Amino acid sequence: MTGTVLAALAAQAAPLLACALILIFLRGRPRVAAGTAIAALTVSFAAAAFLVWQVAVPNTASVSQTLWLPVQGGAGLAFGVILDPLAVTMALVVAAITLAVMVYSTGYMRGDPGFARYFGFLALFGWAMLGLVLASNLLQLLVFWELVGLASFLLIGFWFEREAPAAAARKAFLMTRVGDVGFLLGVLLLIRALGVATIPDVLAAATSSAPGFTVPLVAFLLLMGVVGKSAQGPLFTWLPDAMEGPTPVSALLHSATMVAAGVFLVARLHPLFAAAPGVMQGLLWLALVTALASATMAMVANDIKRVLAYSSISQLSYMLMALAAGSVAAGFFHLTTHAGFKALLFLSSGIFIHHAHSNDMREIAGHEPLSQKAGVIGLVAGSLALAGVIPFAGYFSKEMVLGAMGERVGGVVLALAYLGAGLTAYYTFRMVFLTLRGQTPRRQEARDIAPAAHVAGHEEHFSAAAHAAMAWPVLALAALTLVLGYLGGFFATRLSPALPHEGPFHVGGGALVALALVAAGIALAWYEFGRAGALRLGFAERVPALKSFFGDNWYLDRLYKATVIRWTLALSRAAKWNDHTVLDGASDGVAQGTVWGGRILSMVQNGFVQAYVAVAISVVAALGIWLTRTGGLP
Amino acid sequence: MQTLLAGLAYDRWIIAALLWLPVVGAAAILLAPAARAKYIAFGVTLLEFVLSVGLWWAYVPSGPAVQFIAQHAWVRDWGIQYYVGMDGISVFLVLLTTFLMPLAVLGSWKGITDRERGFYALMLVLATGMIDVFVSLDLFLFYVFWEVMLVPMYFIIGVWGGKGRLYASIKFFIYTMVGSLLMLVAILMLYFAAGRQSGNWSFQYEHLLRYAVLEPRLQFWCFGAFFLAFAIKVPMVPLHTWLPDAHVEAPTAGSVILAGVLLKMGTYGLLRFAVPFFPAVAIGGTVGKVVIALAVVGMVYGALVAMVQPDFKKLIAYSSVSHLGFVVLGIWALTVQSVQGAVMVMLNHGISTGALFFLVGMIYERRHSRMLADFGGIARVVPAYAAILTVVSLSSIGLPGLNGFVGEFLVLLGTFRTHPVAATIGTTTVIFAAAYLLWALLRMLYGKITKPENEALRDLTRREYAVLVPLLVVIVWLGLFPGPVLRRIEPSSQRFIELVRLRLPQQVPTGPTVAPQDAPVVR
Repeated sequence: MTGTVLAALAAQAAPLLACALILIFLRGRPRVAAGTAIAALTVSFAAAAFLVWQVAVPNTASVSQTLWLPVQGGAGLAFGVILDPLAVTMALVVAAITLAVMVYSTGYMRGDPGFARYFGFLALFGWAMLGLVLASNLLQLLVFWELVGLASFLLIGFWFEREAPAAAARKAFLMTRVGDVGFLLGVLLLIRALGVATIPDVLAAATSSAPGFTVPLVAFLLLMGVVGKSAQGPLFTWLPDAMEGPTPVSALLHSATMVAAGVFLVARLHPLFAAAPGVMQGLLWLALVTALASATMAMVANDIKRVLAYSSISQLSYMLMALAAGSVAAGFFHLTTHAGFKALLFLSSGIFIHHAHSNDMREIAGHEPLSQKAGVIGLVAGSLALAGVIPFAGYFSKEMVLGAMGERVGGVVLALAYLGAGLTAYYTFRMVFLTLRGQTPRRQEARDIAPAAHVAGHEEHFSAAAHAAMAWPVLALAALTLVLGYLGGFFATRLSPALPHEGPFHVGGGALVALALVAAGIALAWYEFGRAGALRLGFAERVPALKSFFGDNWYLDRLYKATVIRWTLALSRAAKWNDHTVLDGASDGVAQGTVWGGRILSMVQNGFVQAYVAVAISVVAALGIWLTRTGGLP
Repeated sequence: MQTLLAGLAYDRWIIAALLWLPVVGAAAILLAPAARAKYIAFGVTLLEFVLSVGLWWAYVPSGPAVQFIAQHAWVRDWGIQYYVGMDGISVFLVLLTTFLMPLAVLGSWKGITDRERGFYALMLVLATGMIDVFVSLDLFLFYVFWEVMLVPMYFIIGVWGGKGRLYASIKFFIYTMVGSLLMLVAILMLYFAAGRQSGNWSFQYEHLLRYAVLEPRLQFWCFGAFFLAFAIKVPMVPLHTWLPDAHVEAPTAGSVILAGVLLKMGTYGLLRFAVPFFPAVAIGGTVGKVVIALAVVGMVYGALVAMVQPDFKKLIAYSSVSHLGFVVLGIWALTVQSVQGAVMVMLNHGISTGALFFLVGMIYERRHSRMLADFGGIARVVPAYAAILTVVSLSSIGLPGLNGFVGEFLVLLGTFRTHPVAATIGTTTVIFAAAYLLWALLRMLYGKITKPENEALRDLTRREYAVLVPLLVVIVWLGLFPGPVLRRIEPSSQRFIELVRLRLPQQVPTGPTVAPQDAPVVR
């Protein structure tokens, strides 16, 4: 076993071990639990950094695996690690963000009665995502994919004593599972056609198109899983609800884990998807619609976490658009920068939420937000990156995404993608101005958001240590927004060597258009929310119908309630009725019939000899007649 | 380990020990004072389990098809023998039985307070009956114990059950009896046919398999008789309605054994008898399609009904209907993976559903209610209970990494090769399973405490941990390392497939029903 394989195993084993230790032995010792989890993720981080140095920098690729599931006479399903630039870079991102979130959480979650359990779940999350990233086999990837879903379920529903988080957790698990059925079917189909599930073999077979292997169908089915996990198209509504989890969890969920898993899968299996151009075209359109739709939702939300959630959906769409347009490098680059600045945005919003005890931007604004220096720095830096302002990380990766799309898709799609970039800048700075620029004029409809995501458990005042624990990760991530943008070339040469790539500061026509749109978006946000005397009411919010349509997830949840959910329940009730009335009725009826039959027959046995003889004679006579008629007697 | 077992001549006495130890124990219980009954029962079942663990090493997968054989004449004139042995599938079903038995006894510690001697003696007799069904190689012997096993279960439900126990126990008894009487007729038909053919009168499994040649019409009816008996036991839709009643009314141990082991006898019977004896009827033609359709309908139907059950125990009962559909589908798909998967689902269902019934029983002992609506938010009061219930539910949902996933995946994988449509519909049940169990957890465990009387619920006791921890260990172990189990099941599954294929007449269009020989090997 080489050093790299050992490092990959260590990166996974450490958080698993920590999770088991914490959940089994350290439930009553919160500080030790947090320390264990952080130590484990430090090991993972170091191992992942080592892997990047050993694998990604020299640009090598290898797979090493061992048997897990023996199957009939053959090699069986092997599990192992895949070590190539994509996997190890992603592993580093996962480990880094998880570590930052853990450190931050020691402050944010201080005093929560479930503190130790929380860190156990975070370690579980880290393990599952690292396992997914390094998985060498599609089935293995599926296993960790589900475990990532489990960890999200546990963390979204962490404050299970309240209804909303528990319901949101279930919704997240179920909705992603709808997509996962497609994923599972895709894997089954793939194994059936190819007999292999090892990722390099699958990709080789996809491009050589083995007989009987319908690439488009497999690609479509696998994409169902992606759509669920990365909250796209019709299956996105779980993500805004998932905001019921603790804010650091949202930071993790939205950046490097869970939702990133879907995008990562497309990048991982990109040759297979690329071999199904029709499906890719469909993904492009789906992602485009999702990007714009979620941007409109972000434009009217007043809950800061929901704004960020919608922006995640929108940015994930951009990643998928890049991948659909054929550029792994652009998609993955945007994934990486987004992981950094989205985690940053959530963690800094957490500082405000903790300070103001509310998620509502208007209420945060009323609690001297500027006193939270780390929060302000984080929010502004993250917003500049999200909006795509040069030279923050988001600018470079979004440029690469739009550039990649410009190469492959033309006209309408590209124009709409640019429009989306403008909308992003608008809603992002709407958030910044609403949060940081003073009091909102009082209005009647002030409270239309979920109650503050706080439980009574950690109301007590912050110590300086807690402040520091929350501030340092934020500042580190804020610094990263100025660094990550220069990785574009690194990704381009390793992940999409065939595509052309210009340097980071190549400002072509596309970049100027994008920057102009971003500037326009920020200017509009300033006019409506930022300037002194602004009405602090966006153009979409002025139209009640639009506000309600955008604010209510385009009525998709209502649609699901009125159709799929209602029909399933109706079917269930019908089945239950059938069971109780028809089937049980039939068996009880047979039983009753037997009883009554017995009673009737017992009446025959009345003790009158004449009756017996009469019956006997008539039976014999009837038999005789029947036998002569049918020729039974001569 | 192997040498140690060989030194003890383990393979010669193990079946006899497993079969007759419980009978001795039952006798001892009847003689001992009532207060000792549960200790004796626990000791005996634990000893059984310890003894049976040796099977793990003693069974040689590459060895002869049937191992641990013991054969003695019983009724010489009619060719009835005491003839027992195990293949890989039997080994694991026996292990499942011996594993669940001590836990079931321990789980009854508090729940059973009256007529303890009778209860524990019946449990031990039940153990003998169940193990015998899995090891019998003589059809008469099999039939006798198949019936014997009914009686203790009837009493366990009827005497120690809940309010509607009489209705439930009679329903259980009549349903299973109807099926098994017809099966007796079919067994006799096979016996006479084989006797006439060979001039040798015997109920031996291999003997009947080789010589009992029936004409097609008779085959159809005989298959029907076997199938009915086993399908009721499984139970398959629409013959399943005895199950929810029996489960709900049975005491905890009864439910655990009923779900854990008794249902498996139905699928075991299909695998061992109904399909190999009449492959032409069972697999080829319309009947095969109907059975697969019933299996798939059962999977979806059971899940749907489970979704709207207010009673947690009934919910689990219907989830059993859904899970057992997987098993039947796996058997009928007739690929090695699907059959291995079917056996895995049998084991996993026994463990996970057994654990669920224990958990429901534990909360019932505290609150005397199984209605989901009577709980709500109790996770805060009973965190350990909630955590374990969540893990077990996730295993039942089929979360990868826990035991449930492996079996279902193998069934789907194997079925996908031969019946893609059935497999596709079957796959959707993973959504339903998540829906009904998570919904139940949500209503029962999470949210605010809705009923003040739940504020003072006690969390798990040491005895309850002793019941649940072994189950959890197996849940995780089978989920992470299914390989060793699968390797031991594989030769027997392979043999089942070969047996069926060999006996499929050529004129029967095998078509897509039978896996291509050159099916790619999974890597």
